[in-house]
Amino acid sequence: MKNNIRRTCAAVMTAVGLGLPVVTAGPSNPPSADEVMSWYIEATGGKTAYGKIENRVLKATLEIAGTGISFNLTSYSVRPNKLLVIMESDAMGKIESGCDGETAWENSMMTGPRIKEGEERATTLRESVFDRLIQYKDLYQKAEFAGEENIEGTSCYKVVLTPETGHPQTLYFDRDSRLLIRMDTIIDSPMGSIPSASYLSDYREVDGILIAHTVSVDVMGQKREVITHSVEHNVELPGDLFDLPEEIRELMKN
Amino acid sequence: MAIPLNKKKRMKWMRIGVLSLFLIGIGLTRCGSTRPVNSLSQAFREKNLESFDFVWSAIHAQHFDTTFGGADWPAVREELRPEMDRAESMREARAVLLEMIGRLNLSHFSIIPSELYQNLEMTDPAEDRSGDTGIDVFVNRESVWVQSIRPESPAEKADLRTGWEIVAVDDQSLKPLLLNLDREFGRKSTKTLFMTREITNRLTGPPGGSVRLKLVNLEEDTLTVRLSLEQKPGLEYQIGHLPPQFIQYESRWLDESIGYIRFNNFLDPVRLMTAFNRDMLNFLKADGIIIDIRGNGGGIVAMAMGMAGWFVSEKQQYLGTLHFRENEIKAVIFPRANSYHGPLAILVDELSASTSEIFAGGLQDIERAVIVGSRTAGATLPSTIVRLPNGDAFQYVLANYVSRGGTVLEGRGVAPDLAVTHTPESLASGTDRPLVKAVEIIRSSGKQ
Repeated sequence: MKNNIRRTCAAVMTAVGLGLPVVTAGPSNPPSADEVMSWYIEATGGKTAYGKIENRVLKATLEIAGTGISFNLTSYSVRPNKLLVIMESDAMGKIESGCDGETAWENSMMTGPRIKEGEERATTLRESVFDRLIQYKDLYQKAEFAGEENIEGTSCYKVVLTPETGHPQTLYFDRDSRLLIRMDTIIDSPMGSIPSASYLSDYREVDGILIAHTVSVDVMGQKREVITHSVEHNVELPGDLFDLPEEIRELMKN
Repeated sequence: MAIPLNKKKRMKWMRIGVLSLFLIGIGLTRCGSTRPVNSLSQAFREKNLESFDFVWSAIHAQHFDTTFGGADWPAVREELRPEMDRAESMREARAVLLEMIGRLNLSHFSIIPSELYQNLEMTDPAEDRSGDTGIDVFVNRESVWVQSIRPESPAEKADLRTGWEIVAVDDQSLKPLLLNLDREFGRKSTKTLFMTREITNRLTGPPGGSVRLKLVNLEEDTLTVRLSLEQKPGLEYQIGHLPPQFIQYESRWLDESIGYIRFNNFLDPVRLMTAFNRDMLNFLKADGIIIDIRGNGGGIVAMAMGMAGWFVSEKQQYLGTLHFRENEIKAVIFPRANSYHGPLAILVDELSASTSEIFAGGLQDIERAVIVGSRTAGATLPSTIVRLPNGDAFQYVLANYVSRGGTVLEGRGVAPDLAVTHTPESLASGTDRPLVKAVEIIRSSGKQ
């Protein structure tokens, strides 16, 4: 809120100094997508704070609602575009997925190892970019303001990010807090295209930036809740952490 | 060549459909009171109405076919709810529910009376059925035969033999029970599955307990034995809210050249997939491989996809498609780096259900496997079973399943390429006819 007041004051002062009529964002003057995105970036800490972070280690629990099935989840992400996510469950085994900046892959104890291709690969490469939404202009062909919408009682600005190929993402930002509270997309995989809606909440500050610590994902009527327990930045990571697993290297020979 | 029957216990977990977990899971859920109601008090009428509303709403909200098989679903509610309100007995109440779900013209919806629900072991996950006698049964119409006997089990110690007929358990004759179930299930493909389950349940209980069996031996003498119940073999596994299950897995060489793998569920990926992957690497140069999923009640579809990856080298193959209301998901096969290209036979029977059918039917459709045995249960739809407020159970489908070849397996099952089943004579001689046939097929494939 303090940021909003400061930003409004700054805008007013600038407008007055330039001799322009003073206007504020509202239904009659909808903001541009770039404005909404910049408000989000600022509300979550600002580019300077983001720029100080080189890597992130996030530990969470993923629970599938109503089933009693849960996973321990650890994700390692490193600037510019490396990602490794490890999910482990006593009942379901281990599922790893990753991207070394070039190859996107998954290795599931159940389905076996596989290399992602086509649109799925493109999406993974894009989503492996460190703090993707901060760099949305480089990653998406266009960002469009798509109006306002009430999401579970919260008035939101709606922004649609459209990549060069693949499905767009629809983002919903709380008008007051400027925070991202919902994100809709379609997940592509060889099994099919599956719509998903993620609800973000419980933002907490870590090293100067706000990170949603609860993400509820609705996939085909099944709810999954990811509760983050710890976030660490600028951690010393093993040099080979993002090397492709042996099973994936074997597949690449075929 | 006679191959000895597998004497190890083939545990038959037959939780139809409930274990049709896809990548994540669909499990037993509960709704309302768990106490059966025995009289039609006002409170009970309200429970029946609550049950009606639950069934109607579940179908309305989740059924994959939004045309409801041509039925006007809101009109069905308007028509039948007053009838439920007027129902003066459980029989009448169930008839209303059956009439409602019958309007969908699908086989896999059912209302399970609370008494049968109790019998089918679905009510109390805490009920201890971890002990058994070591007997594996073969149910053929009105008769129950000893199909196999686990080494060192109470049944073996009592000198029981395969091929003997079991006519009563704890002084209850089995024939009337089987006739009742025969009437209950009619022509449903799952009849043998449920019959076998009923018999198997009667041969289990807490370890340390006992059961009294009346049998007829091969000389047609009648004898009575009391068998103690001992802890079932296998590793205990629990997923989510489902009750613990015992996972059995075995592999061996047949004739030193054919790889043989058998497992009783598509569950416990940590241990089962590790063992399967290890054995597949070991069998890569085998003359052929036999996967025995007789008695396998299903489980996690993703495991079937992963196992199939060992037998397929082409990308973009899949076992079949799950059709949800708004989406569809393909059970895709991801080929392994070193897949096996030799002959593959899959053994199935009437107790092979759910993911077992998806696995066998999918590999049959892409002409990768020869299916040997008897027609499978035809219980492939991912479904769930919930407890209704009136104590009965309601099983309903969450998605339609269509095999790769375009066949709806639900209610039909996978038809074997080679139909071979046990006979009382083969059981008596200790010959596993389907396994013998599978070996023959692999031998003949190798010669071609």
